[in-house]
Amino acid sequence: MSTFGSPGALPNTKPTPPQRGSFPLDHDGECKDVMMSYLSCIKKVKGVNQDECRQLAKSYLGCRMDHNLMAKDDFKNLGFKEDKTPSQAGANTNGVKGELQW
Amino acid sequence: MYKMICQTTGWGGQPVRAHGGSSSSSSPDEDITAKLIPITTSPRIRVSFSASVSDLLDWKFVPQQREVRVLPGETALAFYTATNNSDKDIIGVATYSVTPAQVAPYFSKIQCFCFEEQRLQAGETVDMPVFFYLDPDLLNDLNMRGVESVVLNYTFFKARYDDQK
Repeated sequence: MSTFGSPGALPNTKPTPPQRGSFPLDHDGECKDVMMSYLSCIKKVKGVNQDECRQLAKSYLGCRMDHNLMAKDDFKNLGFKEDKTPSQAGANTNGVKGELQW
Repeated sequence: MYKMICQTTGWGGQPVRAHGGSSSSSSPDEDITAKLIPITTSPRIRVSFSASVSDLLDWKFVPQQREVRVLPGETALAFYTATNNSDKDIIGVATYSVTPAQVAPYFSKIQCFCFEEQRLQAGETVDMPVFFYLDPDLLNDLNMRGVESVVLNYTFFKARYDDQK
């Protein structure tokens, strides 16, 4: 098939299957609440896919994993940074554990 | 696996992966994880959602959000909702398209509800997620300059052999 000879000929957009296949349907709405929180968040920020809503997206996928509606995987493989949960109120900042200076 | 088939045949001879096929060197998982780093120096791209239903399918099918604005490499979640408005269980199957055409190779679906049959009971409503990202390689494609908006469309059809039900 001849094109106009341009280097970037428009590709035929044949659909491709998803990398991890299809999501099982959540027939019982087990993760619906998390979904609703996520959708409210997205509406609030007018679609900007930043941390606040992405955390909810992560929770939604976690919910699916917990209910066997998605294969379990590390969140970093799904594009989410691993949370290093910060320790409570500077408890470990000076590294002197177990010493309570009253 | 679909992925291996698509990587070799691609579209019209063009490989699906825009950059060189280094599929032998690292595991596919590592390749993909390396792409899942949001490129914060890029402007956000608007992905908006549309939905259609074949005339033969008595379902309501709508997107649940107007748009999401994503960075290349940033995974995003979107939802559609489908309701079977008929009085019979129906099996549907969805396909999708991405416009403009030059974005299609970079629209990477991690998981969605397409291609596999989905059975909805009579009157049932169900939420259908799409989890995707835009491949950061799009930033190296001259055809993608000036592309600020993408439309993802899903269309549901009745599964052909379902006529007897």
